[in-house]
Amino acid sequence: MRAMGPLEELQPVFDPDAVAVIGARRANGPGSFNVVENLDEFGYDGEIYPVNPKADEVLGRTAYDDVREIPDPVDHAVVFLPRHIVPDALRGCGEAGIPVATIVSQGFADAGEEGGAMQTELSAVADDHGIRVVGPNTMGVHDFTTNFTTAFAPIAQRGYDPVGVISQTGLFSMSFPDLRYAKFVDLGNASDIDHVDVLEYYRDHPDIEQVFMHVEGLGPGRGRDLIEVARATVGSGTSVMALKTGQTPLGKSKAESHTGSLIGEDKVFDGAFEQGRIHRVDDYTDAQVVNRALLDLPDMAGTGIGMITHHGAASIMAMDAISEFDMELASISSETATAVQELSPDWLEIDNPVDLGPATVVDAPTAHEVATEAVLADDAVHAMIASIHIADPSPWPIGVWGHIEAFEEIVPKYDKPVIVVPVGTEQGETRARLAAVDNLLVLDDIRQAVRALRTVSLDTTYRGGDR
Amino acid sequence: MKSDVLAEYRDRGIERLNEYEARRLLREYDIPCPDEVLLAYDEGKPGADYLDEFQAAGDPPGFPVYLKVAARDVTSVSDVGGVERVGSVTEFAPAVDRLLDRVTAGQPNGGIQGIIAAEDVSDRARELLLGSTVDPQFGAVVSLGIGGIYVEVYRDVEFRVPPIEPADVRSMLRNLRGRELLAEFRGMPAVDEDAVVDAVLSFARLIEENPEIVEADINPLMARPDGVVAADALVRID
Repeated sequence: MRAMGPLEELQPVFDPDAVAVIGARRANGPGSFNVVENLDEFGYDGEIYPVNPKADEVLGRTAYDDVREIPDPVDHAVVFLPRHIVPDALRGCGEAGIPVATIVSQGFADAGEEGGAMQTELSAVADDHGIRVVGPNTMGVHDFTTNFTTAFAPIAQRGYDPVGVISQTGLFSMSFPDLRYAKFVDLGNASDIDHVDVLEYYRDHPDIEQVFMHVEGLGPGRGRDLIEVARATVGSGTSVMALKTGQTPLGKSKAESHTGSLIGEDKVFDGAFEQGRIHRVDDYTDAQVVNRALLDLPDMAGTGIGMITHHGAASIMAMDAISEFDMELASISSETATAVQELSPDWLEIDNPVDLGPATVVDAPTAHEVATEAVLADDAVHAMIASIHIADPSPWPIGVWGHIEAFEEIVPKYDKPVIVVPVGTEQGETRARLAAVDNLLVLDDIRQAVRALRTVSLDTTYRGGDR
Repeated sequence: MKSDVLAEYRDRGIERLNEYEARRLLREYDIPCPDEVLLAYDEGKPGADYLDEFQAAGDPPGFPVYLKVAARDVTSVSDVGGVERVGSVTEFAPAVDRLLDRVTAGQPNGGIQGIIAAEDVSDRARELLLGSTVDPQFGAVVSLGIGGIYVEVYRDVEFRVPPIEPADVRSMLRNLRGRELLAEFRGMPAVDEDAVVDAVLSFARLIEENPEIVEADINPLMARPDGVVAADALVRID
C-alpha cells in the first residue's frame, strides 16, 4: 500500500524541485531536441542536472557522467536515451533515490514483441525501486503553473485556464488553440502512471476545475477504476470530458452469445463514460466548445432553453437541435411574451423562440433590452440562445452597439448561461465585446450552442450528485 | 453470495448450461422464467411417453406450450429444428417425434439432455436482449437492447459496467433507438419498465457475484405490460 495521497505522490511529476536530464544533448538551438534548453526557455526555476558522460557541461551547467553522482536530491528524472540502455539508467535513478522518471525513449510496447519484453523489464526495475514512471514513448509533462516541462521541442508559453489534460499522445499538447490547459501529461505507453492515476491527482489539485482526457485504451480491468475515480472527481466539482479514439482487439473473439458478438468495445465506453459522468466529445471542435462552455457559463438549473432571434430559420434549426439533444423549448410566460408583443406588429404572435426581427427594425436597442430581460427573468428559461446580427457596420441607423449594450448590462445580472450565435460577415470588435460579457459564450453554430447547453445542464446535475 | 446452482454444474464439469439449466440459475436470482417441465430424453423413446411424463408432472404448464430440446452443445436450438409450438394435447406426441427426428438426423442422440415443455410467454411481449460478456478493459459488462433474431442487424444495444443502479437501466432504455417499442404500441400497453429494471439489476448481481461466468445471454427477455420473462437463455462458465 502506498501511504501518500495522489496529490503528494504525483507532485514530482508536475512540480519537481530538481530534475536530472539523462541523455542531455550537448547541442542546443533549433533541431537539437535539448530538454535542458526547453526547461530554461519554459522558465523552470528548480535545479537542472544534465547527465551525459560525453559532456563536461550543458548550457553552463556541470554535466554528470552518471545520475548517482549528482550531489543533491533529485525528484524527477527525464530519460532521453536509446531504448537498450534505459533499464540501466532507471536502475541508476532508483539507486539515487529519484521517485519519478519520465521515459521519453521509444521502441517499447509501441514496437512489437521485443519492445514489449523490454518494457516488462523496465517496469520490473521501476517496481523494484519504487519509481513512478511516465511513458515510455512520451513527450511527458508540460505544466504552465510550475513552468516544468519534459518536452524535447519548444512549447509556446501562454496564459492558461484551470484545465488538466491526460493524453496518450503529445499531439494534444499543441492541437487545441483554444483549449488553454494548465497541466498536460502524455502517458505514452502508460507502463505505470495511467489515466486513473492522473485523474486522481487532478481531482485533488486545487488549480484544476476541468479535465480533458484522450483515451485510446485502458489497462486490463482499469475501466472500472476510471468510472469510480471520474465519479468522485465530478462529485468534487471538477468536470471531466473524454475524446475516445480507435478500437482495440476484442479479448473474447470466440463469443457465442449475441452479446459477445455485439460487443464493440467503443460502445462500452459510451456506457462507462455515462456511468462516470464523463462528457464524451467527438472531435477537436467539440472538445473546445465543451471546454469553453463549462469554463465560461454558469450552472444550468434545468433543460429549458429560451431563444431570441432575428430569423425564423434560426428558430427551426434550434428546435431541431433541441429535439436531437433531448433539451426543452421553454414554455415562456404570458408576461414574457407580452413584453415583446408590445414592440411587435399584431400579425406576429410572440412565443418562444422569440422572433425579434420586426421589433429590431423599429428600435434595435429597446427590442434587445426588453426581450433579453424578459426571457432571462422567466422561470421556465434555464438558458438563452441569441441568434442575432452583429454586423459592423450595423444595418440599423442607431448603430451596432445599441443592442450589444443590452447583453452587457442584462446578461451578467442573471445566473443563467447565454450563448450568442452571431450573424454577420463583418463582426469587427463587436464579437470580442460580446465574448467578454460574463455568463456569455459566443459560438458559430446553433446546433453547437444547444449541444453546449446540453453539456452544461448535464454537468450541473452531475456535480450536484444526480443524473 | 455465489450461486449454488452454478457450483453444482461446475462440480459436474459442465461449462455450458442448456436452456433449462440456465433458467435454474436465473430463477435463483429472481429473474422471472416461464413455467416449464424438463422431460427425460431416451434414445428411441416415443412421443407418447413424453406426453405421459408431461401430464404426470405436478403442475404442467397449460397449452399452448413450446417444446424445445435442451442441448448444451447446440448454440441455437431453433437452427437445428429443435423447437415446436404445440396448441393442444393431441398435437403433443407427434410434435415431439418430428422434433427429435430433425435434431437427431445427422447425430445419433443430438447431444440432447432432455425436452423442455414451457409455457408460451409471448403475449403482448416485446423482445429484449439482456446479456453479459467480458471486456478486456472493463471486465464483466452488462448489455441491454432490442432482442430477437435480428439483434446483430439492428445492433441496438447499450452497455454498462456493474455495479449498476436503477438510473443506469432507465438511461439504457432511454438511449435505445427502438425505445418506442417499449411504450404503448399497436394497441398494447407499455411494458412494465420497473420489471425490466429489476431483471437487469438481478442479472448484474448474478454476473458480479459469479465472475466465472464468461458469457450469459437472455434472448429474448419477453418484456410485457405485466412483467418480464426469460424465454431463452445461454450461460457459459470458465
